[in-house]
Amino acid sequence: MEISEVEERIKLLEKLGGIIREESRAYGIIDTAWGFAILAGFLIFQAVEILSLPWFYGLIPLIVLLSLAFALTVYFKRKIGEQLGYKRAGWLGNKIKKTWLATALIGGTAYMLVFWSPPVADIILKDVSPGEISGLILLGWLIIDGIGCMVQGIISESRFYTAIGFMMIISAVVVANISFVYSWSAFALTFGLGYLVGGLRDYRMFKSSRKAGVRIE
Amino acid sequence: MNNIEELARTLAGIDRVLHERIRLAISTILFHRGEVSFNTLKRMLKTSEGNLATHLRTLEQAGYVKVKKRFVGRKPQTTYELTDKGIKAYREYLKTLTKILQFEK
Repeated sequence: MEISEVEERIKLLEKLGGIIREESRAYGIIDTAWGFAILAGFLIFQAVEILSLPWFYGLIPLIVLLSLAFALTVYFKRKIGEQLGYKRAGWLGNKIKKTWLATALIGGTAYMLVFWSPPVADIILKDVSPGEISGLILLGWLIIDGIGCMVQGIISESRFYTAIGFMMIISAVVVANISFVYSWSAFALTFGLGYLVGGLRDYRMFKSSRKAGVRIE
Repeated sequence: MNNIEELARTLAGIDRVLHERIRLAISTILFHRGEVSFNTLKRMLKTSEGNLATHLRTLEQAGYVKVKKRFVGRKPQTTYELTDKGIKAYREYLKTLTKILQFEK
């Protein structure tokens, strides 16, 4: 076997990788749905906090929007799977799923357990006003999800998602130095807007790209 | 053992089932996409049904791919996915390619 044969195989892998990556952009529509839900829902919650309205004025639209995003995810996954002929996620999709599970579920649970542990909760409830509590909780999630987003960007080699994660962490630092109340808008304008724009961009690129294939002689 | 000998041994030890172009392409798509239908593979690889079926059978016989047959509505659909053995072999194959390229450098 010649070295040139190995190089030719590498080229084939790169070409296929490019096509697979292009087709993955179809799933951007799901990111758009979540981005919109977070952007709209969190901005509504922010307005409720600032206007000192009853909390359920913010919570109900948020639950509705997140449920809608979840339903759309199920719908689009099935639709895209039918259109492209895939049944479930491959190696990269599984890696990203596991990353989010580890970050949000394990990291998030640990954070909430620390936050509500009696010594920590005592200090927080003594020194933080009730209006700022939800913002303070969300501040932690801004960092946790920011890490998740950065890791997703690194794994999928997407500078855009890495940048969103970075912006989330930076915005957490800024909010912590101004007022916890603004965590809602920080989350909406980094994660929400980022996913909305990034998802739309990916989906549009998928739509405009022709369905390519590799002819193997 | 010198580098030339080691390179020759690596080249000789390459997985011949995966090294064939179409089988390598099939395995790559299945590795990145999970479960894929026959028609999708045909579309992506722009190859004839007979040729594709032959290579899929070889991969199946090697224990690298498993087949699922089901009905979607009234239409029969055949899908393929890599087995654990197939995933392991594919990763090993990629490692071997990388190793060969490093020899070249």
